[in-house]
Amino acid sequence: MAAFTAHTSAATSLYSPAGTAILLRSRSRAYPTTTTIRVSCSKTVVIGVAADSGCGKSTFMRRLTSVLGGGAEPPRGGNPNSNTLVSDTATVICLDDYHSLDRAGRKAKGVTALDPRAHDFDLMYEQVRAIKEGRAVEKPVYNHVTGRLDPPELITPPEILVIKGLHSMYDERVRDLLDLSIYLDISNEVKFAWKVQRDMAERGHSLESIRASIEARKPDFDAYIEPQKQYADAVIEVLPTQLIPGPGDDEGKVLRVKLIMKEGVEHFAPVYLFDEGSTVNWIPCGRKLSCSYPGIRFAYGFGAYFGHEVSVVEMDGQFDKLDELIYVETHLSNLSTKFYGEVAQQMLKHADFPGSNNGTGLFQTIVGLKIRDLYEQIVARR
Amino acid sequence: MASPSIGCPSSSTALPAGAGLRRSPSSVHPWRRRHHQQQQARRLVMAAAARRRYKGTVRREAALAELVERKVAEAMEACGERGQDDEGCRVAWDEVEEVSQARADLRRRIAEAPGDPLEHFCAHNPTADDCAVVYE
Repeated sequence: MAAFTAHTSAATSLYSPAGTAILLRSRSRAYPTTTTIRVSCSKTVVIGVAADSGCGKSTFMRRLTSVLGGGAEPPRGGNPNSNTLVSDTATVICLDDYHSLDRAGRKAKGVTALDPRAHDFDLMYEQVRAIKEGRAVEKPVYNHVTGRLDPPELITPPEILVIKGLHSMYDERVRDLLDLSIYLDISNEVKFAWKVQRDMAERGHSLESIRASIEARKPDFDAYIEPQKQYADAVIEVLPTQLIPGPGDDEGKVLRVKLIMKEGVEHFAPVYLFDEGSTVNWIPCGRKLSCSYPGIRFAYGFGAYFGHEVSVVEMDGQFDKLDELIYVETHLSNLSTKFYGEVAQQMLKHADFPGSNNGTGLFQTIVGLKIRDLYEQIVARR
Repeated sequence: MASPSIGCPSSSTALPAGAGLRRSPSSVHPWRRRHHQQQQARRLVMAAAARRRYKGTVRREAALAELVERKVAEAMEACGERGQDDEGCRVAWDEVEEVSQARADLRRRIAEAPGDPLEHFCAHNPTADDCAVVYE
């Protein structure tokens, strides 16, 4: 058996300029032998996704891996508690694995998981950089059931690396490694509605406990997590609907979702509606398309977001029928689809995912297609 | 694979799907064939109703459910005593969020994957304790 060691520190042994890694066989052989495995010379494309817990990161990952092709599964063999997903082209790592303090440690220090003091950003930066440069790493595993750190697992450089977590864009060095960064911004009312849907069936939880949990985490969230949205290249903002007047929809079923895209990002062309650079308000329901209550409303415009120029596409309402989805897709531009109806097809493929009938699913799918396009552009450039 | 521990309450008719031998129809007397087929159908229905799970997943589910309940109780207690702004209170509710999310993730993985979440792991480590098969 080959004795394989992966170095996360710079230079030496395993990485040769020709782009191959060398494994050293065990000393039981009489003669020294080497085996070469090919490591990609071209750098891995790194995407960062940041959002609060329970805000759609996992759903977004599933849509993204589906768009990129290939089923996403936990790494073969290895730790059954792994948080990592591996597909043909992409590997998704969860930044919870870089906790420097386990659950007991955080309790002792009085620090939440949202606090940067609970994370090892140096290790995160080193390992993401190593993967980007084509070196395999031994990444720690954080076990959510026991709350402790398990022995590390091996991550080999994929074509696309996605880092998802609370602090994907927190550290400046990690930010510089990202080719594209995405932030999911969920408003408080919607967050509460989603967590109620998630937790109400659990023994022990009640409306009060869910509300208390959100309130208690808010100070740390506002201080550490929310500021990351200014660094994101794309922000998916989810708000309550404006289509239903008054207290109306307090179940959070109908949503108003904005896709805020920074201008001038390399390999990332913002989506637009009808006429790029103008302001458009569009209600597709009418003579050609019939929608059921409360209907659909789109808006497109441009503006400033934390000092950057952005384009914003907004959808309020719900899709009821396939026709509506295809109709809308026909009128959006710069979607980076490979064929007519690809967005609709992707949404239908995962009709059981949450948000498949509103802007969250639509914009997550579109961002997924944009990531695929970004990756293909970067590869074509080499 | 480790020897199956059949947790299903009804005894002899519960067989793992596909384990029963199916004799070719020509070898069975016609007047017994229908009875035989009915029995097969009943066995397969029982096997389909009894879902095949790995012990590790069942254990993990139970552990997380219990953890959620316990952490909520602890958080209520911690915040009741010391007030909302205390860091102990915040950490306690953060733990509740962490385990609730883990529970939801596991529930989702069980619901959507065709097999058990431990399928991959158990394919490579059939003798692991977590990979004992449980029917429920």
